[in-house]
Amino acid sequence: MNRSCRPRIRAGIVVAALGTVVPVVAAAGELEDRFATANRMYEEGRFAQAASEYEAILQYGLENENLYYNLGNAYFKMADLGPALLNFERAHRLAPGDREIRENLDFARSLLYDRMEIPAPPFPFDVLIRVRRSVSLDTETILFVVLYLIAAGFLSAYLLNEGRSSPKLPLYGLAISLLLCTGVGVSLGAHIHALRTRQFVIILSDAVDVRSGPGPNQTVLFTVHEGLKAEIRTERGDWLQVSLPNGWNGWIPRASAGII
Amino acid sequence: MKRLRRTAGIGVLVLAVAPPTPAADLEALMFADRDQVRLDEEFELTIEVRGADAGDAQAPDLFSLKDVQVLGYPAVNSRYQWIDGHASFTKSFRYTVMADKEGEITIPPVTVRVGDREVTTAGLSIRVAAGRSGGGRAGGRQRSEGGMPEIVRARAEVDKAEVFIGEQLTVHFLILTPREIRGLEILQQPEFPGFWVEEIPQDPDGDIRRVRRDGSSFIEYTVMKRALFPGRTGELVIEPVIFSVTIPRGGSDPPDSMFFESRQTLHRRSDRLTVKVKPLPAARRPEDFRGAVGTFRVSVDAHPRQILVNDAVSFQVVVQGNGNLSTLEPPLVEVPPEIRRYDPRITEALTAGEAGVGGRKTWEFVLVPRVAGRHTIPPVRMTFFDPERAEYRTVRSAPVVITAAPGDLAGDAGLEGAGGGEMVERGRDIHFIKTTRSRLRDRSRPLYRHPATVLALLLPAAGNVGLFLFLRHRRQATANRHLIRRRRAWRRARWRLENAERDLAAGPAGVFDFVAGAVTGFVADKFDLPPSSLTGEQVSALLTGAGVPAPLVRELRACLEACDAARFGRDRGAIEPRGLMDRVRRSLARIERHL
Repeated sequence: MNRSCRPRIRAGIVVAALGTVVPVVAAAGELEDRFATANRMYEEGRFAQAASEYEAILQYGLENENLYYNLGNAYFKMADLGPALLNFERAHRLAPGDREIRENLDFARSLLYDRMEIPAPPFPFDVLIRVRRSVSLDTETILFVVLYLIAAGFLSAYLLNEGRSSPKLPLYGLAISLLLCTGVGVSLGAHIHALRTRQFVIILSDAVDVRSGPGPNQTVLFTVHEGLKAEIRTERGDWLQVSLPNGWNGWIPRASAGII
Repeated sequence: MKRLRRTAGIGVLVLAVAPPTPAADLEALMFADRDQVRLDEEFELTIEVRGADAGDAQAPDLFSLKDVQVLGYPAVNSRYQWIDGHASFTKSFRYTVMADKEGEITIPPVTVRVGDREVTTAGLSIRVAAGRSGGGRAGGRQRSEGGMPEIVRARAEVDKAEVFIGEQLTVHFLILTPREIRGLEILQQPEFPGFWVEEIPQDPDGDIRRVRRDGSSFIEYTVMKRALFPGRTGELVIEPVIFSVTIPRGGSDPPDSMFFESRQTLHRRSDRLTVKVKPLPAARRPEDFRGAVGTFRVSVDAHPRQILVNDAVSFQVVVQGNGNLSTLEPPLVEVPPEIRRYDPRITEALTAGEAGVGGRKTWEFVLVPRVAGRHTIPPVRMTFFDPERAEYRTVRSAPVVITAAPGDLAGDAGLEGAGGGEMVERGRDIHFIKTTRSRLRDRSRPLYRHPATVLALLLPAAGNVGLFLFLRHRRQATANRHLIRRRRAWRRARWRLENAERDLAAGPAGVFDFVAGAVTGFVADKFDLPPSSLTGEQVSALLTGAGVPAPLVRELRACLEACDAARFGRDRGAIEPRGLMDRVRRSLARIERHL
């Protein structure tokens, strides 16, 4: 390659890099402006327009719990319970510890048509599950990293003190921090695995017949209504096999539900 | 006399032979049963097709002809002939028609479809004289012998010639006759392309009245009425209706008419009407306008209004008024989100009369409150276009309050929660939105996949591995230094003894220091200890502990004591240094083999 070409190539790379970075920065400002506009529409009671604006922001590929939360609120005010619950669930997935999101979600769930009794897990599993569900994936990641760093620090101290008279303190610290780190790590791994392998949907149609197979000619097993949450077991074409918390399962059209 | 003239007229055929057509074996003719007619006189117009395939000819559409009215469907006649060994078919279509204007009228060439071919007649001219009724366009073949002309008219009348899209108009189809009709048949039903049609029922006793038109007295029969709602803008056409009317023949002898009424049947066609349909004004059109045109009012009702949570409430929205209620979209019903609304059951009670179509349409919703409290259903509003005022209007109902009690309903007092300053929940709602701008952070990539997290995990691990390797290396290096010192102990001891021998040439003063240093240095090197810290006892103890034979240890201890005696004792000159050095050299050499 000609040596004189290299500065030009470098300049081209810099320009290309700026070309990708600058629009992102500009888009971030634009998105925040649109978010503020949508919030203003909501405050003025123009819920449909606000929802449309929030949806437009989502088209940029942005995922944010506040955005989903506000969008859920707008749909809720429009009495669209299904989309409202779908967006509250998405917000809750990103920020399970957020109290307002959780309370709005609970309130919207209380309006569901379909009710089913799910037996609560015994003590202390219920507490553990509640604590586990209130911690977000990111918080869990931060906790794991901090514990890992502490364990690494104790390990360093142990190595440096090896052969000296008092190596017990770093050793105990290392053992405790490693124990905690392993516990959090297992939980984090389970969380990530669950996110990757388990998918849930919210029913968006007013009423959906759940059938015994993936097709309109299959037997109707039962009917679910707008807002109900179900887990996807498998999918085939335009049909999803879903299971409910009470164990019932069947097939629904893909278009009748939204994936959380 | 007149009958003779008419009979003679029938015999006069005005033939117009068509020029050769592309279908060489086919020819088409058009002719009338007379060459001169009166304006109010029916006559017959015949289209005849000749040729081998004439049997496939289809009746041409003459309803669009100008200057003549076609009063019914054609009479079809087919004929087969064998002339000079050749077969020939003739198919004729005979229409009853009536001229529309006086003077010379020309009927343009008519095209007849024969299978997949077409054959065209020539045009036809007919002279039309004024009618007997003095220019009125009605009449028939039969004339009363008396002074009163037998005028029979068919008319179509609309109450509005120009309407907005969706606005209601009414069309009446009328028969006007000088005397009561004895029979009526509709030969061609009306068509209303572009209109939504609602039938207006007829009066069972007959819709008959006596009217005066163009100075003459008629009996007016309203044959049918329709309410029309235009579905598109522009000029819409109401197609004519063809009637067959039977009336008593006028001028019969009174004795005969008392027992044998003579009747005649006439064909009449109503006019083709055009209605101009205007679009609705775009200016000031409300956002919630959903196409309703007319005049309406809206009301709501709910029952029961005090219920338990999850009980059903029947909520009725009623729209009453004039307009096309059948196609009316439901009004805007905004239900609070804590109330579930189910699809409505729709009922209609429509009435169609002279004033048009009206009535009431009801949407009955089932509402189920999911939360306890007082739920206010805001006013239901409906926006429509009022064609009379030519403006959009919005009407609203009153709001409705539904009170839902939790659990068992313990009387109305419990519902209100009254008494004693007790706090009562007036309603529930979701939390408000989050409006902080800086919170809009992209969370599409979870933190565990962030490079910083990976670095935070990798760097400490790498640091600890590096630390471990470093410490191990240092330990190994230290261990190697001890080994080297130990291995070099004998060599360093010999070096010190050689130095002592060199010093001996200068004088014996410092020789014993060197010899003692060689012994303690040898032991210190062997055991990696500082040489200055060793005493004779320590040397003995170290060597004994290392498994050196006791005689050798004693010999070396004796050498050390000799050195000490030579350095610090009174008899320092009695010890011969060279011999001591040899003893020390031999002892160290032997000890070296044991360490």
